[in-house]
Amino acid sequence: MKKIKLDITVNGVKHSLKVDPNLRLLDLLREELDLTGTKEGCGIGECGACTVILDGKAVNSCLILAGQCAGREIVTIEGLSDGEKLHPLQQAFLDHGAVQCGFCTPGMILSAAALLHANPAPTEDEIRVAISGNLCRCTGYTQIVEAVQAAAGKDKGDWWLQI
Amino acid sequence: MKFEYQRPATLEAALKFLAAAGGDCAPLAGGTDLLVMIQEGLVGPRTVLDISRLEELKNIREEDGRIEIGALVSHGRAAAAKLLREKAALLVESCLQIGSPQIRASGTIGGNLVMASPSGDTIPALYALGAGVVLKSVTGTRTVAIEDFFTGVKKSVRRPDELLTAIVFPAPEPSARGFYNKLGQRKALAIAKVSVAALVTRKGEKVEKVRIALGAVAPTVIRAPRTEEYLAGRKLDPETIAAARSLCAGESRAITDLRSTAGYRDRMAGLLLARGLEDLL
Amino acid sequence: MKNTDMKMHVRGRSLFIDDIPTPANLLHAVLFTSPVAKGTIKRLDVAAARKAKNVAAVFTHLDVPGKNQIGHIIEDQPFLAEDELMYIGQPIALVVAETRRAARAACKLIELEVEPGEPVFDPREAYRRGLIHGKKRIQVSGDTEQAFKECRHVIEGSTASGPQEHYYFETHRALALPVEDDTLKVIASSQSPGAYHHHIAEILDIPQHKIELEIRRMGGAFGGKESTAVWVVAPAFAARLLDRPVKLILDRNDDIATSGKRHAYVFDYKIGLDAEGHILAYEVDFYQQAGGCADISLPVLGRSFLHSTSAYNIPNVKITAVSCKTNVPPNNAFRGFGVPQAVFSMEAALFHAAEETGLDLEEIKFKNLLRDGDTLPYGMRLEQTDGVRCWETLDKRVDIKKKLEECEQFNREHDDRKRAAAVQPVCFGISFTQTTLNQAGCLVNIYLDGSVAVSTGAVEMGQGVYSKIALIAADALGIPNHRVRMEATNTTRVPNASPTSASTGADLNGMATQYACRELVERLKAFAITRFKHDNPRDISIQDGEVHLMSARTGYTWEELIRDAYSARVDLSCHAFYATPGVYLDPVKEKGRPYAYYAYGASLTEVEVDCLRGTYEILGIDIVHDVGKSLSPEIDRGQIEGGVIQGIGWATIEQIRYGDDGRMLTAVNSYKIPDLKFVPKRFNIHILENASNPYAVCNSKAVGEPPYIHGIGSYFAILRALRSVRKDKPAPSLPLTPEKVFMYLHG
Repeated sequence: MKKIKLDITVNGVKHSLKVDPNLRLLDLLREELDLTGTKEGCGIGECGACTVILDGKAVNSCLILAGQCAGREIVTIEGLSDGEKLHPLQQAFLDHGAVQCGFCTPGMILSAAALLHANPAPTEDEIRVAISGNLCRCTGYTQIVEAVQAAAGKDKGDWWLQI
Repeated sequence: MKFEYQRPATLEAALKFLAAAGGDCAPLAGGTDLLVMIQEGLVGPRTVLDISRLEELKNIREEDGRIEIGALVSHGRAAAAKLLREKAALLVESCLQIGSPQIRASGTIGGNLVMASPSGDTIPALYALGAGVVLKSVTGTRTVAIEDFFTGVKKSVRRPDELLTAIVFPAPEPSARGFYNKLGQRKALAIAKVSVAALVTRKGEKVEKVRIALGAVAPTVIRAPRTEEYLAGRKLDPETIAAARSLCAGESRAITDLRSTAGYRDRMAGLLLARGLEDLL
Repeated sequence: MKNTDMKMHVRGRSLFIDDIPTPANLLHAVLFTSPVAKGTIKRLDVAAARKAKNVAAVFTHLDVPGKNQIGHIIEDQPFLAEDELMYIGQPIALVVAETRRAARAACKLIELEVEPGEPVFDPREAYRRGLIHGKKRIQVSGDTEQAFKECRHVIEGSTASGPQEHYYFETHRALALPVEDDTLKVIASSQSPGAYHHHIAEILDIPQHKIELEIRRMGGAFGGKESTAVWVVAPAFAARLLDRPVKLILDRNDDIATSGKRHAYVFDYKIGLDAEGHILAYEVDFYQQAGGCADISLPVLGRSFLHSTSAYNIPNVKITAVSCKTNVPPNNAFRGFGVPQAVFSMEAALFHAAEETGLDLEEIKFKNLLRDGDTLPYGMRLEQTDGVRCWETLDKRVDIKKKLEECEQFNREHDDRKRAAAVQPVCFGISFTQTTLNQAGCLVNIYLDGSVAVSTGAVEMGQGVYSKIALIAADALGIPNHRVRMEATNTTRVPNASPTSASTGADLNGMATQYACRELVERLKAFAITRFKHDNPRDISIQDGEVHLMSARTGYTWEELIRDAYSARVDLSCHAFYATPGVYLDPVKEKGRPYAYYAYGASLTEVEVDCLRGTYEILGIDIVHDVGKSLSPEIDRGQIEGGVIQGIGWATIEQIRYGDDGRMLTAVNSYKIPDLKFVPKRFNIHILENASNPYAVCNSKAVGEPPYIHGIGSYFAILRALRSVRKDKPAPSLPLTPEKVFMYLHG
């Protein structure tokens, strides 16, 4: 397989890489860039654990080739906080007990972040739709919905998404 | 899963590449189905042709009473498009039934057709709308009626050197009403067990014409011609709907698989039609 | 109180097994498994696979240096198959290669010839053929035969419950690293540090002290990682033999197809009531779908056995239980551990009885709830029961009768939509039924700067046990929470640890932690009196990180105390041990006191069925649940919610289909767990107030499993709605999927 050249921006940092053509975005993040906050839950777009934000939209990184992301901007869970300062969504997930085993958490937070990026004041139904592609086996989801609602009530500020 | 990766800059370049590749090449649109199939070893193309950036295939427009949707319009974009919300609400509904927000953001209308799954959500809606599929190659362009496009499970008349570039259908008359009803195991993220789409045009109280399509009950999406014929010229009342329901169940040709049993699916097809028709009352 | 891992989880910084930076020379292991449900290996040729590109080794049972055995209770489960094949997915060979892809490709080069046998999949059929694990268990209390004669109503029936996939997000996996002096470090996703540690040593035939097993956290487990050690043992075995790091990560679909599930059961019941609805007698036969090996099935069946009367007082009981050897992958532990099945059977019998007799179902349930002084079939007399109080609290909050009447009113007004509600009581015994396991160790280290590290045998899988233990430690030491850090669970610090299961993680390990901290405080007090020239150490206390004398602040800080105690040569490290007192079960008479205490609850689940489609919606669930004096209401609420939703999933939409050859047809794209749209919007959890418990740490109660039982109410609420339409056929089995609902109504 011939390697392909790839320029992408991840969490505001530009990368120039040569990658295998069959590399998924998920593998690129985890294996090439050591951003292991993005998790693989099912590998076929069922569970949403691998969700990242690609040009402002939540996508399953297991179903996108790294090559498809050339010239595009990606935000992963590692890029959501501002240094040590947590993103309001991260803080709200903590405050509302919306996290148990933690495996679905990064994807869940990023789906919610993509929603708030597009729609800073969503209704409860809009929140439910936005994170409906993220499964969680530990919680009953209600604390997650509460967390997103709480974060949505915060000032948007200038760092919802650094893209 | 070894393959080469190509990303042509224009449609023309993509078509040339396809013509030269001699068949062993898989066009990649949203990738939400193709990458799963590659990973599961169901397909093993030598080259993946990434067409996902071809902006010329991402338009939605209406011209001379015909609506054209570029093949690379994502389900999310289609569902948000004003033109479609106003004139093809059943297609919008079918797009919203697809997977999850993540899948809708990546997956495309054209990709859903090329994958040719009998449970593809948008397909019954496009049957009901009487859509045509535009196929392009270096040798020319042809438009195939959607019912002639599919030849079996995951099979279509698309030649390896062709790209599906657009879907076209006549803008429904303002009085036409349609619906897309789906039954899955769970509300979100469920592949259709059974789905029914229909577009009904009425004159006064009576049905003037109706097109009904059933998903996931046969190797391809199918029409329900006897039910359509029965409904034409009739007033939609509870008795008519009940008769249409059992006719439709009889036209369904479901099989039993790991998601569901045949008898259940056939009856559900009739029921989903009846439910949709009742909502039009 | 936050789950201590949470801050890392929300930033994606917590390292799960596959997030650990890749060690140099890492190899990947993939299992080659049985393609048939029953058969005998005639020929196994791995030569071609061994020669394949990038393959480091292909191992069979012939390469196992020690005992080729991972049986959890009975030694009937070879690590790698020898000749007999008992289920599809049974490990036969282990392929180790430079990449997972290469290992998988090499699996296809293995040549296997099998003489097929005749598999059995139906538990009753297996029983008829004498294919069972262990012995048939029988428990008799009172005299059912005589009692049935005195009953006004006697109702008999059969039902069944299906399997359930755990669907933990992190599949089975482990990373094994050879270290100096022939030792091995294994980092695993496992609930059983002690048992897995032992299995690895046995298979390799090396002493346990040469293996360090560490479990930092798991991406969910729910019981599924308590037994069937193969996926942890395999990479450890390969790493040792090849002297290179080896990782095994089970693919999602391989995990679903080859790992154990919640046991499916078949039940025959017979129940007798008097004219007023008192349950006088109950007989039930449990046929457990165990799978090809015994694995952990017998303890699961034992818990079903002991919970057969659920939350009710029944004077005459006869229970028989058999674990049936069927040719499916060995089923294993899953939240509730056999209790949900037993409760389902009891509730099915009561539902049936109420229908046949015309008695009011809720009245029967309430009338027969366990109360102080009642004796369970195994001879344990109850005290401090809270079941009635939970029910009454629920009734006050939702008005059960009114709610049921509202549903009936709705149904009179609607033909194609039907509503119904069901009340589900909970009485769940806490302790391992296997008495030996009710033990835990803890090591508390205080460092020179006053920071504290706590190690226990409990593993963190999202349930918040580390947070609870840290809280207990900080409280016992009298210091702020942030001064305590939980260490990863590691066999070098706490040996022979029991699995974190049976909801006992915080109970056992928390108590051991409290003991260790109290011992350290005693040492510190004895030292402190010398500094204050005081004679009675009882007058010293530590509060909020400051030494108090006669309850007054002294300004002498925890940090100063520790520094001075160190200088004075006080031991600042303490190991402690806890064994639950007074629990036992006579294995012959089946009598005893197997549980330290019980957790109670009551809930009302309301549903609406779309009778035309067969679909349904959970309109709401109201729960009153007893957690004793909660260690952390936030964590407990999360456990209750998650448990209930898992229970609802089992009772309603989670279905597994098998082919005629025993192959699992269900894969990740067709197995549906509850998603956000499925869970009810009305989800009220009320933690029973003024509850206490003298039998567990800080008067708390275990919370991991008991709430799962509430989920069963969803089945009976849907069933009740169906019965309001027609009653001319038997109730469908569990799960009550939309398809079953439709076929019931229209089939």
